[in-house]
Amino acid sequence: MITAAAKTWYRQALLSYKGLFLWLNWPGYISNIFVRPVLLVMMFSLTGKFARGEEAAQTFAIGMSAYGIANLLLGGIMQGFYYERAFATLSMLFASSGSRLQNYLCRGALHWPNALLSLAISLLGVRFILGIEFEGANWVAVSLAFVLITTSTTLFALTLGNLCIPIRDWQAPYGVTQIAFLTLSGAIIPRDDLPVGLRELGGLLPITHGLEAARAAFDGASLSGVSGDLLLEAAVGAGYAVLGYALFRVSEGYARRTGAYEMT
Amino acid sequence: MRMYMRAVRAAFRQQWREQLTLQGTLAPLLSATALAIGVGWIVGRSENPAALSHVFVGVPLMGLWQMGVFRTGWVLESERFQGTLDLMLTTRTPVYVVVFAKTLAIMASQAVTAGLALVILFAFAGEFVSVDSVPYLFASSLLAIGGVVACSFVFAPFVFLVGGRGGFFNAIMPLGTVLSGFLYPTGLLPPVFEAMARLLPTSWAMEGVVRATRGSGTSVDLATDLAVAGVLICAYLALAAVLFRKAEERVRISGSLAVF
Repeated sequence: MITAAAKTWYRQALLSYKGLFLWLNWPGYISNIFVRPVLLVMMFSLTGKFARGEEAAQTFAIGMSAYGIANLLLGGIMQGFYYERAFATLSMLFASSGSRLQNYLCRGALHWPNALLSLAISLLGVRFILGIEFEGANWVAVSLAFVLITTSTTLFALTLGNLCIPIRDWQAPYGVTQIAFLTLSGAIIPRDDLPVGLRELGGLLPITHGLEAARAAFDGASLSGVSGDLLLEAAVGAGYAVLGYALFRVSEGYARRTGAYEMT
Repeated sequence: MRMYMRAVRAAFRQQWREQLTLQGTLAPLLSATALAIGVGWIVGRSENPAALSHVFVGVPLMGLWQMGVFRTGWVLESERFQGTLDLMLTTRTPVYVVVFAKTLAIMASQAVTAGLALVILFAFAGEFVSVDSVPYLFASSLLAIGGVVACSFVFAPFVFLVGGRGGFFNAIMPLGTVLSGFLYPTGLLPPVFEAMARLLPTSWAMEGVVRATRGSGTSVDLATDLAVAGVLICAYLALAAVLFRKAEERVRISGSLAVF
């Protein structure tokens, strides 16, 4: 019974991944998972080193590694929602009797390990290409922080993906999220330097609290020392899980009532 | 020649109109804004005049590179996809002339992005940088733009020949920025990357930009930078011409598969 359910989940995840993720070809995959994250980290770390010195390079390397997770997940998952409509398969989904929750969550399932893999590559790039060492890091806490960041960002991307269906575009919202993550999450600009309203807004983004925990853990903080931030990151993710799935169902209800989303 | 000019005007206008759609403008603008904000905060608040003068020219060029190479890279492949590549090959105007005009239109349409990047940098820095030699800065900036155009131009036939698909440019866009030294001197790069950077005209032109802005180095150094950038631009254009010929041969022999 469990095996059959697991097979269905896997098949669902694989089909949405293969059918709706247009970067899934070898040049695109290598480019996105292995090369781009490292280059983004290099770009900002070297700029930081040039403008502010060695210490800044490490700060921006950690921030951009987390940003790389968001960049990859948002691009991959949001395009899936858009292409579901563009390829005219959305109405098939609405006509089927399959589990909506399963369908919704499976859209991010295979992007999640990709993001962790790209993070690992980024950190290896930081160590071996830029020569930045993370001596004294608490790797258990660092790993937990990044796993939580990846999970909450996946749920955030699924939530925003819902918006790509009615507006028939994923690139513009993707651009908006890039600005939000670079300015409000603490990846580049410390949250303490932001005006109060923007600081609070940044707290609603995934990666923000997880990144604070990760930075502290890189400095050697204990797991209990960063547990507050980790819990906040988990709470943000849970909030997006509820909100995103609710939006998904509302969007289906709207489509059924009005006959919308049928045409590309 | 007059016939070519007419084709260039028409191709430029067609591409320009295609660029100026909401979708064509908004996404690159947002993407470039995100990068400019990040870099603007790092450098603008650093009170490091050398870094500031570097990025004031580099960030607009980075925006030009990111979208220039992406849009130009897909030009030929888009023609094939839309079924107009056969018509383009049937005309008497060489394909590379048409694509070159389209490349210029793409670059021109990115002027807004470049301008916005400058405004963001100014907002963070609170001042414009002083320039040691305006004529040299103008010359080296022009060569840097020429370098971006030449590199982008190569990608149009290249993507067509290798059958590029979604995500193809996701690493090439940041790679050009990392290697070109738009944001920092290429000397900061690890040795292997620095050697690769020397193959790009943009990295030499950016060195010229920095020398012209800060007055560092001798006139000979500056002239060398600009000369090497010029030679590399010519080399990239020659490479593009070869690749265009190969692309055209392939279409004429095996068909473009434009109709499906």
